Amino acid sequence: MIVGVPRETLADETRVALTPAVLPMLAKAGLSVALEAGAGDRAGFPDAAWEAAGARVVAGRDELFREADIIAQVLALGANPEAGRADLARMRPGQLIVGMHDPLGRPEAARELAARGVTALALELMPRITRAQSMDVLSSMATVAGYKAVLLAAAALPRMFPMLTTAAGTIKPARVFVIGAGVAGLQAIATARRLGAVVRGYDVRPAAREQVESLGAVFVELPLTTADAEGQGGYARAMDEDFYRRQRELMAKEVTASDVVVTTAAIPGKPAPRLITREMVEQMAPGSVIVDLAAPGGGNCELTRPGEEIAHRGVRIIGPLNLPATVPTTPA
Amino acid sequence: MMYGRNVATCLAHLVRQGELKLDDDDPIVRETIIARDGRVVHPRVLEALGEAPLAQPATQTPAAPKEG
Repeated sequence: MIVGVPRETLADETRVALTPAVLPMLAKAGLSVALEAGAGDRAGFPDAAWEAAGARVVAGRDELFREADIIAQVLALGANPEAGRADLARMRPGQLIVGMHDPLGRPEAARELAARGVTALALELMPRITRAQSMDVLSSMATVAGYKAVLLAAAALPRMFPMLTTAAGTIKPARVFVIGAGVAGLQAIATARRLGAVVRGYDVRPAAREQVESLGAVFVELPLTTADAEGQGGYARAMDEDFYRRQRELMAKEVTASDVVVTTAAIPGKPAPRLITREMVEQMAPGSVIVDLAAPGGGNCELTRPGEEIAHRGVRIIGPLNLPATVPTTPA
Repeated sequence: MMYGRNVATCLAHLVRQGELKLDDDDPIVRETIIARDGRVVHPRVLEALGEAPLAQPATQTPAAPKEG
């Protein structure tokens, strides 16, 4: 049985669905790998590395789709609706398409794939059960996003993160506030701590306190009823608008006292809750930085422009869409 | 455990001795397959499309009327 790895077609996508290192694992299951020439180039895996690991390099995309029983992609049609469309005609009935499909954000892609007669597997929907942990792409991607978000903030902030005691005096550490303590948020907290910032973390789920504190951050207490905030599979559940309004009031104080705010509050398949208002941004000190990891869902900050970096009265607001693609060798 | 390893582990779980096995009793299959046999099959994707969930398998007996 052949797994075909096509080149990713979204312009900024640098990742590739497999790496040469995993080929032995696949061979054990009876799977051989065919690679579209150059598919691993941008992730740092040239064709020769794949061939050395036993893969066959195929020159044309048509040929790859014709030969493969399974297509492994990073971004399948739903997650790459424009450039991904050309592949529909190449797919064969019965072929298995494995990748990220954005199944709840763009469900109509599933309908198109069904119409082509293929079987589509959306890795984003992997259940959060112990034996599927090693298949959990959302955790992998969130880890990278949380790490990279803090690096972006550190680079954009016009001061340093750590406390420094020098001959010229003592510099106070930067204050970082991380909203949402899921995988991305916890990685952001850990990364900001490693860089020497003073970190505070908030999550609607009281259960997150222990994890936030174990990383050396202060858990921010917002005295609100949060009993039912944990939804299916440990993801945050959507709360009602009144809850979010009270949350915003209490949060304003935290946000305006911070140099860096990293927001990670996303609810699968739903627009991101608006947690940071224009007023809050306008009360932040000039030079402060917001990195909004919920940008793909519209953003947790009212002023976020998904995919852009803007400045509003001296506050930089970064709304990255695909941070995992900026470090392809790791997430690939 | 990053993307390539996630994908490979998933494929190695689904393919045994070079044969693809998609067993609906396996939650890894049941919760990730969104399209199959010409239809959208995932309840959450169908909900997102505004469609009714698929009918229960025909073999299932209709629920008995409530007593009392």
